[in-house]
Amino acid sequence: MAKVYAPRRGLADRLQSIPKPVLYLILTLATAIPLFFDVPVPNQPVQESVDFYNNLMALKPGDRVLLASDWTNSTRGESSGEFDALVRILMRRGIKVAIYTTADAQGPQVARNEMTRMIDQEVREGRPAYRLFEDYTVLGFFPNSENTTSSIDTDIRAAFAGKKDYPPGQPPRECLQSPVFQGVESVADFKYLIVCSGTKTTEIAIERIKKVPMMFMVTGVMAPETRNYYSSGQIKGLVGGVKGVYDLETLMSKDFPGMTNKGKGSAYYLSLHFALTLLILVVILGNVAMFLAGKRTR
Amino acid sequence: MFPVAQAAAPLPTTFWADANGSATLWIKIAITLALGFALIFALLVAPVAARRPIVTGITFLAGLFYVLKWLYPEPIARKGGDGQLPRNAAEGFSFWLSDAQSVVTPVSNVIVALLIGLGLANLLKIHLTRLLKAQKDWGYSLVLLVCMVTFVIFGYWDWITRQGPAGAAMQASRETWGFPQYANDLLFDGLLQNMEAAMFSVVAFYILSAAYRAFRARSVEASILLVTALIVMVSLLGVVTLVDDQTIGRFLVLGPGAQAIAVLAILGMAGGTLLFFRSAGNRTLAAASGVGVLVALVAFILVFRGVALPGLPSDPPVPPGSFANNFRITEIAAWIQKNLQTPAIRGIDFGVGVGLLAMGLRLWLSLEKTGGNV
Amino acid sequence: MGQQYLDTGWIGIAITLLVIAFVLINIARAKGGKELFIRRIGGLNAIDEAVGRATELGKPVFMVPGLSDSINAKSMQAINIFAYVSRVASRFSNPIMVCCYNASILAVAQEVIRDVYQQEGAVEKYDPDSVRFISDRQFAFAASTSGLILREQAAAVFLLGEFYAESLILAETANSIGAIQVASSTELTQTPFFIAACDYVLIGDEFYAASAYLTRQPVLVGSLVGQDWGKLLLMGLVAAGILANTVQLTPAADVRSTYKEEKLDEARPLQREETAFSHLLTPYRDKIVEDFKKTVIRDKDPNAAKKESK
Repeated sequence: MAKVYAPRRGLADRLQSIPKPVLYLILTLATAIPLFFDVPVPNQPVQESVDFYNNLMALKPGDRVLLASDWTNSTRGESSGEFDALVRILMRRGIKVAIYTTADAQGPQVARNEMTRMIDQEVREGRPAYRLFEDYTVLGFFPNSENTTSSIDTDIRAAFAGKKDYPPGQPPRECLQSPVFQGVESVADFKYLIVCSGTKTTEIAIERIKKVPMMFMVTGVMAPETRNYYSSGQIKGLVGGVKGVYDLETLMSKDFPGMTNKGKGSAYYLSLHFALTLLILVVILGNVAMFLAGKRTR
Repeated sequence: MFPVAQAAAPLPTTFWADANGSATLWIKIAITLALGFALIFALLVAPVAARRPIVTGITFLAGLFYVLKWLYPEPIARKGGDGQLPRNAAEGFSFWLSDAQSVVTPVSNVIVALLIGLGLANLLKIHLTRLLKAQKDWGYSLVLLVCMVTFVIFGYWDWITRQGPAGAAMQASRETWGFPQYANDLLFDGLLQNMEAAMFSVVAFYILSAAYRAFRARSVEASILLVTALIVMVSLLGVVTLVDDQTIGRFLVLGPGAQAIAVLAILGMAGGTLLFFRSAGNRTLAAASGVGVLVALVAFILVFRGVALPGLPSDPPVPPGSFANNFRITEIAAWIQKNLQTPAIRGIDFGVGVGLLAMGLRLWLSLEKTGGNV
Repeated sequence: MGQQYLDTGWIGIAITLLVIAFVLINIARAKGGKELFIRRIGGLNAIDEAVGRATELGKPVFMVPGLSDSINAKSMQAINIFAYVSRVASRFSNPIMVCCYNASILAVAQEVIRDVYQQEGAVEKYDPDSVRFISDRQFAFAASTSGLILREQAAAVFLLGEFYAESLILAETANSIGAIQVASSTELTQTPFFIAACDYVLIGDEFYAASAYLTRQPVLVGSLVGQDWGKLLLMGLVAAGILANTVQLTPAADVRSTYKEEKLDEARPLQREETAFSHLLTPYRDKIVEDFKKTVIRDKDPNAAKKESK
């Protein structure tokens, strides 16, 4: 029987067809190994992160912000770091916060868990604990983001009416009775609406909220589109992805010395470096291979 | 129905703003319920030819509320619950619309919640049928049904045990947790959340394989795309941008001779690389261009790094107002994002917004013939 | 009330009403028999090719109308396109599968696709289970749909509508089995992923043009031309804004007062938010509320309004 000879694959062909499992293995190692090392990476915060930070730092103790925590553990790689950095700043500045969710039913519990974790960390470092209901309140989940956001802009007390929180040692109480909502008649009584989101609730907020300045914390892939709203002045600050979290942590390390400022941004930034480097190398490799293959066929 | 300025005590309310538990609210609920059932019955017995105008009318009225809410000036100085009164009928209508929002919103929420049942029914129908008839992939259907039932049971069990005074204690601390709480925590936080995070992480691998396959400079446009993407990606690497800033800073403090060598080295590397790729099988030329690139690289490194020139600061910063700032990778990337990417996205957004407006208008006015009729 | 209305964003409402007018005018023109031109859109021309390829291979056509939380304009548009795809598939007796993220989309999609099969006289070929609800969890939906695409070995995959992070998962899965893909995401951040992984991509409002392109109904074509007029209007506004801001923000054009009617101690250049266009597009809300409060006395006295109305 005649043998079938397969043509010898040159370097170009081999470079253009690296098996996917090999690529995935290299990526796994490139992103996992740096997690075990705490290496400070030089960083220059971008202007949008600086504006976000400065706006928060300009608030006075006792001011209040409304926080839309529209993320769950599926985007925790970025959103959790953003939430943690934000909450650290708010707690250290004594700013009251009302948290609600319109994106996912799991959102409130995820927010509560993160708040508890951050409060425990602050307490371990000797700072006062943020008290549920007194300093912050979790309003819960509101389905139908469009209508809820419109209601918040129209009449915030009606939008949040009936929602209860669970102050420790007390029966469930109406969130509107919380000190966080004392004197709040309109959403304009909050200093900022901050949306920490991995979904389209940022667009919904832009469309429907007119009375209060807004700042967004979004995932890295959403940052280019959201930057539109920052550059047009519709939002006053923007934190995008792991880089944005690392920017906040870099800025916090200057203003909060001696406190824990490192979080998920610092933990993941080195991995991001290696992942991006691998991506760049792979793209260059693919193009070199394409060139070599083209040259060979000429 | 549209209140005008009235006596204040007791404070008048609009049609929508009855007090919770009041007799008028219950009456309105009962009437609405009766009207709702009557409407459903009427739709069922209506002749087929009349159904389209009825549906069109209901669609129009439902959309009209939101259109009016958007178009009609809102009572901007009104403080909720303060008893402020409209001055005239026109302002009274704005109060009416504003109050209606808090009723209409829960109505649509209830409809959305009811639809979850519809989805569940569909899932059960398909997967139970597949399971009972042992059709293809019935194993996956079995897994789905078992998971669905398990999550429902433990989810409700946890919720029921949290009602009442024990709920607050469970919320505050895990010490009071029982079996349903731990089971629910394992299923939701331990399994579901982590599986979702894992699925999102899979995107990273797909990005790598997609970039490797698709990011090729096959045309001029693709080449431009490739170069700008590489610049933006490199600008996120703090180590590379630091080295770049230091390099530019050093270049500025070098003498004219050293600066000339540096520029020639950069040009040599670029030219040599280009020549290498265009050598088209000419081995001598390819070898010569490769050697040229190496020589230029060594010269570059000697000029900038590793050679301590007397009196040269090790990491001179780039002066803030210097023209050289325009050559920093971070500045180039910021320029690309601000002047190319943002306007492009904005332009597409304008088009999408107008398209969405037109689509919404067609749906509201029932101008759209669904079904792709030709 | 008139002054308040004029000062609180009349320009946005005016532009919107103009665009609506353009759409309605062009719908009337199209219904009146005027021939209106639409340029070629590659992704939509490929629908017949994709379904034909699926028919040759004997493999199903997959359609995913996006991950909208409820039935809305985007999911309706996707269903309209899928109605056309289903019509073509029904003519070739090709199996289809529509994976729905939301039960409201499921209900509408089932009705629409059943109607399509009825119109084609192929009701017996319609499988009700071909339009199914998958999950309303984003990644559960992605995992399940990817699994279905792999197990059923889909030959043509249409991903049209609202897609988020799961877009690349679905696109790469379909790409890995060699399926021909036509995709469009209303979320612009996902469009690059579709471009990298799919054969044809509808970018931006090509998605909204699809139903007009495929069916050539006068209403839809007229609406599309109206949209284009609206875009021209916006382009004109942008150009006018560029010119006006360029003139007003020239360093030499120092001013002594701003549009907020503040008198300045010394002349200075206008800030970006003080130009005519900025004033036009960004109403001074605080000033309006303050003026309103000054002109109408609204104190805690519940009889104040009654006295005032007298």
